[in-house]
Amino acid sequence: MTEPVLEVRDLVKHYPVRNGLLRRSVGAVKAVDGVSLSLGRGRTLGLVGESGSGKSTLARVLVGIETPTSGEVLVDGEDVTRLNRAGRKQLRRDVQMVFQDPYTSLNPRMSVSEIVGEPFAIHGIDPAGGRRTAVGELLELVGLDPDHANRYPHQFSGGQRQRVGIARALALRPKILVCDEPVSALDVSVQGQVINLLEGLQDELGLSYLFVAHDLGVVRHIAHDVAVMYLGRIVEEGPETEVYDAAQHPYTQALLSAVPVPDPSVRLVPAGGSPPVESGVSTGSTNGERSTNGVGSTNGVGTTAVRRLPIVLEGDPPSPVDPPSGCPFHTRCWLAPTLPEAQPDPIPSYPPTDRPDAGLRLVPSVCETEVPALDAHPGAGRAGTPTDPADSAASHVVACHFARELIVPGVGA
Amino acid sequence: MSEAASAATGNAAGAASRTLATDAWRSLRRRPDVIISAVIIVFFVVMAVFPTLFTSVDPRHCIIGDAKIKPQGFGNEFPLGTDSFGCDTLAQLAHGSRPSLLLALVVVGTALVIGVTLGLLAGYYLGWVDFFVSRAVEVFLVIPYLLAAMLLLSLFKNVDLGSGAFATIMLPAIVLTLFGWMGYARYVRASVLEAKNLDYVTAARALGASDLRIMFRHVLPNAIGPVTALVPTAIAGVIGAEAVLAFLGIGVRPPAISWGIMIENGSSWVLGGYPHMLLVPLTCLLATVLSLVVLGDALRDALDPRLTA
Repeated sequence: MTEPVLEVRDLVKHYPVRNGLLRRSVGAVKAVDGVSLSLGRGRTLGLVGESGSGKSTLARVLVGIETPTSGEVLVDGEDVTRLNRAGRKQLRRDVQMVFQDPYTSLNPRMSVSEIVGEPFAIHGIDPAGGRRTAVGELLELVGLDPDHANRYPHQFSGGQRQRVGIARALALRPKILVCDEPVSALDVSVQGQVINLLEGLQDELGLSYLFVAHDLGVVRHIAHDVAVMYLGRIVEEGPETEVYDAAQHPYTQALLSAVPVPDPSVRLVPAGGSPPVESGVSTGSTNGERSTNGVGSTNGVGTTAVRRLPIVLEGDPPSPVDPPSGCPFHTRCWLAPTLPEAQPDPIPSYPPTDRPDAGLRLVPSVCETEVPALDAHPGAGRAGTPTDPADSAASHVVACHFARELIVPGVGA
Repeated sequence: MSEAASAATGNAAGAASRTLATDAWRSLRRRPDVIISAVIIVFFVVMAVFPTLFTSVDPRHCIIGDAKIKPQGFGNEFPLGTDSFGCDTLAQLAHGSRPSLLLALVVVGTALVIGVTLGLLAGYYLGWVDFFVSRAVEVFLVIPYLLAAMLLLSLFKNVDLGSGAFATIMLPAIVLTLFGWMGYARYVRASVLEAKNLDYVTAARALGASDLRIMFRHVLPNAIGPVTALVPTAIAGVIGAEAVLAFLGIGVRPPAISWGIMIENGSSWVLGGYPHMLLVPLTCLLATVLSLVVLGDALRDALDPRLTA
């Protein structure tokens, strides 16, 4: 296990919600709610999750744009949240960011040489050979023609602009690059080039990446380790192969099942044909019993021929102002209602049909009351390919009371 | 990469050495409307600095017997006629250009600096800075400026400001600046709010740039656009407003003359058969303002890298 270059401990970022005449704080958007992770030197940690899960906020805290509400961010063992102004400026040389949208991340009124050379101007650095030469070298490093230094961003394509953004981030020779969805705004063909560039730079410069994305395929390609976020918390974390091939958290399983498969014929493979996910059935059975929602229509198909249906999570993510009690995912969890623990109260005080939430979902009470810790679940069974421990910075941990690999009901029968 | 290259620069050899300023100069030089406007502006600036080049007559040498003479054409005694007091119109025009243009320059310049600074600070920092700036804008918008002008008049009534070119325009400059900065502040605040959340500002912050650097290198250049469109019309507004103030006695101090006073005096004689008294100064004002509009637009376009390619 390599020594971590970046360590985050119990990081919390709350945005106060103010209301009324006196601007009193009436609550907080819990954008990041107790996140811990570590990034090894020269490694890539992929951070995935749906919109609003706090990925970008976490990234912004790490590069120092936002100050955390509490928690520690350790770069090379030094807590940067306690640094003074000068120390923070130094930190900015160690941690830099690549932005999502190459069309807004470059100032349209500055030439490429001004943009890439700005870090030198800000920090008063005069690199050997002069700033002009240094800018030219940086442009060459990211695969751009140094002769284009006097051009303006609008004269470049999206992929080229993203390269300019990467060159700017590399100017201060950072140790860590936080990439906030660096390829999601690019054409698929250009995505590959930029990803390859990032991988090449990692080998060449020994960079560590925190790679924020919602594209699971891209993350699988570039990341060594993967962390899955939901509602400001990490719900599953581990080496890429284990998380992808043996996901244990129902949310991760749902995310993976939603990855589009380019080949239509694959979508109808029989059960067991492709390891990652088989589902729709488990949700379907419970929905079918209740038959209160329209999802039941898909179940009829699902019961006979097992389809590789995506797990469809119902509803929107809960508001981060008022997250659900206990496990934050229990309101949308597809697994919890299917568990034997999800029984109605043993002593019903009134007929079940009269209950106000009669048509609603029942989940195990532990999901509603207890926040699951991020623990390893070795008993759940590893994937067929055990990962070399030396290669993995983090062990596979899951925040779920009932974490287990996906079991498809009926397959064993 | 090559398609961008060929589109941007026909002459690849000079591509590296060309800067935005030389590009701007090149494109401006080729536009006839820009050249004409520049000539007009230079003409009036020369007139303001050296009025005696254009007339040898004293503008205050007025003989009531010569009143209301129509333009006689150049080479005669009164090339552009006389006004209702018998003063030579050409002489007044030439000598009136200095206070008018100086006033417009001072007022718009000062108001621009105040408005842009306050708008930038309010939009960038928000919070209590924004609270105070926004309330100040509202207060100054609500106060009727003529009322305030009269108040200032009584305050400065007995103050001797001297008789230099600057002193003659001091009072109207103060009043007009005081009530002229709010528009800029509002426009700049609004576009700063929009510009400051863009990724390139965040990127600069992540690099450790100071607030000043972010404001002046990243936010302001991208937020100033809407304001530049206000400036030429504001100049016309100042020259017109000065004429109104002249009525109250706090305009350009007599015996100095201004275009505003000429327009004010001449407007009452348009229907009396002497339209030249209005048309002569008005034409000069319009020519100045239109030239500034054309120059301002052309300059803004030329300095925007997105439009030059």
